[in-house]
Amino acid sequence: MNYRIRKIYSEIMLGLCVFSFILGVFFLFWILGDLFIKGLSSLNLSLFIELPKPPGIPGGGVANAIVGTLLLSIIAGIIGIPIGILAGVYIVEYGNNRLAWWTRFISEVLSGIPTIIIGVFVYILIVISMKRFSALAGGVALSIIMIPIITKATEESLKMVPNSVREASYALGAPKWRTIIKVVLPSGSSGIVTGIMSAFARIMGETAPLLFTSLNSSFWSLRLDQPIASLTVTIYNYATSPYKEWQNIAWASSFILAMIVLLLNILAKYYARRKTHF
Amino acid sequence: MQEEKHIFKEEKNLEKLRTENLNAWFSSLQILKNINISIKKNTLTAIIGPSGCGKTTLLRCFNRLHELTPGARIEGKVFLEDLNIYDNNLDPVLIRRRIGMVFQRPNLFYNMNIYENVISGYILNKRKISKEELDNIVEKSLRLAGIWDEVKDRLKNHPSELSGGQQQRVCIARALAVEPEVLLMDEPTSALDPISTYKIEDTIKTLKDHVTIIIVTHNMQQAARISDEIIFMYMGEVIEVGRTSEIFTNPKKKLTEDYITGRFG
Ligand SMILES: Nc1ncnc2c1ncn2[C@@H]1O[C@H](COP(=O)(O)OP(=O)(O)OP(=O)(O)O)[C@@H](O)[C@H]1O
Ligand SMILES: [Mg+2]
Repeated sequence: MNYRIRKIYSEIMLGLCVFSFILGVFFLFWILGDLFIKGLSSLNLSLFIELPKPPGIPGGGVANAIVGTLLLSIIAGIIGIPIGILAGVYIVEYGNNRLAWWTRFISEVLSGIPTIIIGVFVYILIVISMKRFSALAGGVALSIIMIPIITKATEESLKMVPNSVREASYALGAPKWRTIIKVVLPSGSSGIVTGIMSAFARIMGETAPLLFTSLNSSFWSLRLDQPIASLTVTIYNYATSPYKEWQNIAWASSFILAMIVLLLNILAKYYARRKTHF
Repeated sequence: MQEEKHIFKEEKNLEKLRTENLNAWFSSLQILKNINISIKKNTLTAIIGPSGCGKTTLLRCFNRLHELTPGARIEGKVFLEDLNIYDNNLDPVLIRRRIGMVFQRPNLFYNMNIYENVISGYILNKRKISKEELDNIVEKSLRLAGIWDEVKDRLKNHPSELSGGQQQRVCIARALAVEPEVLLMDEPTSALDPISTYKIEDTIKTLKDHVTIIIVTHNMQQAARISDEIIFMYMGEVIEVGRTSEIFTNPKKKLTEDYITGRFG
């Protein structure tokens, strides 16, 4: 009796699981399918080499936005990677005090803040004081999104490094900081690299924080103190425009962005799968 | 000839390591109780005693590893020759460069290959020496640890390729590579087969001429085979210290006798 109820219950649960799985996969394929069909059909070379053109004029591309997204990511990485790793190292290797507790706490809170709020924060902090939108502000906003992701990844992978390895290093007379640099960090590197990849994949898809910070531009630009185009903001603008050509460019850009993010995610998985030996 | 022998004997009698009222705790749990021992230069001392009596802890007090465990602390003094290694102004790093350690379980660096592991003492301490010298050190240390023939063709390979026993011998090579004055060994052969154990014991015996060795072992035969002196510990205290032959033939304490004859422990 009891057994039969349990069995029915189990079957219902299994059914629900399968159903939600199918639902998830259905939407995933719908989105990806749409993206592939519409994106691929609008894809062409001029997209990668030309600047945006006004509506009605044929051609035009998002080359500056691709470069812009890369530049924003590089700025974010330069700021976010060292800070994220250092915070993670601090939490794990010096973690027996209140400051480490706060570091972890702040990092966790940060990862839960809606990114649009981070955009507003950077807007107030940098855009208003510089009196203009800038690539720098965009990069800073993205770096703030990156930091907690990298901190978490560093924390998790350094925790996996067995203590006996640290002790082996100390027993050879290595100071703590050299032990961290030469033994602990390299031992946990694959997890950290994975975290960095996912962080890049994440920030490249951000739009909201860029609307307040790097804004947009229709020109080539590598200047940090000027507004800069990005794929996401371009997609946002083009997709919501009434012009068919622009909408097609938005589809193609989405496709490019999705491919970049997919590639990063695959790389991240590859690194995560690399043998860590522990 | 006569005189040479005399000098050699005096060398042997010099004190290398001494503890003075050494006590150690994990949080509020006292592990070592008032340890006073003296270890002579270039001798091989075996620490024996039942599991949990504090052998590892004592060993870790000699190179200041004990204090790295959160909540752990010590009181008292440990002298390396006439230097108090617990002197407040002393950087423990300097002590650890003079006192090497081989742990109970192999703990090679998995971010380095076998070759780099052996010279890791140099890498980690930024000691610059020529490639040629490093090659020599690697070969010499691996030979001493009795594993050269097994790894000479795969020095650039990852240490996880080696068996546990082979890894342990590379750990010994790594400790020897920096030429420590004192070598602490925590049951170095507990994971090894009889042949590797025999090789290690051979190594240990030859090292004795220029290194002071303190070895923890659960193996009475091993202690009898290789050690000059024995320290018998029980529940955090040193019960008896003496020449190996004496401890085994004529122990002064009943507890010692019971332990070495296998009546408990
Ligand atoms: N990190 C730790 N925290 C708290 N107590 C510990 C810790 N490590 C060891 N102890 C305790 O200290 C005591 C002595 O441990 P120790 O490792 O020195 O024993 P041992 O003589 O080496 O034993 P074995 O022969 O089993 O290796 C034991 O009672 C053990 O439970
Ligand atoms: Mg032990």
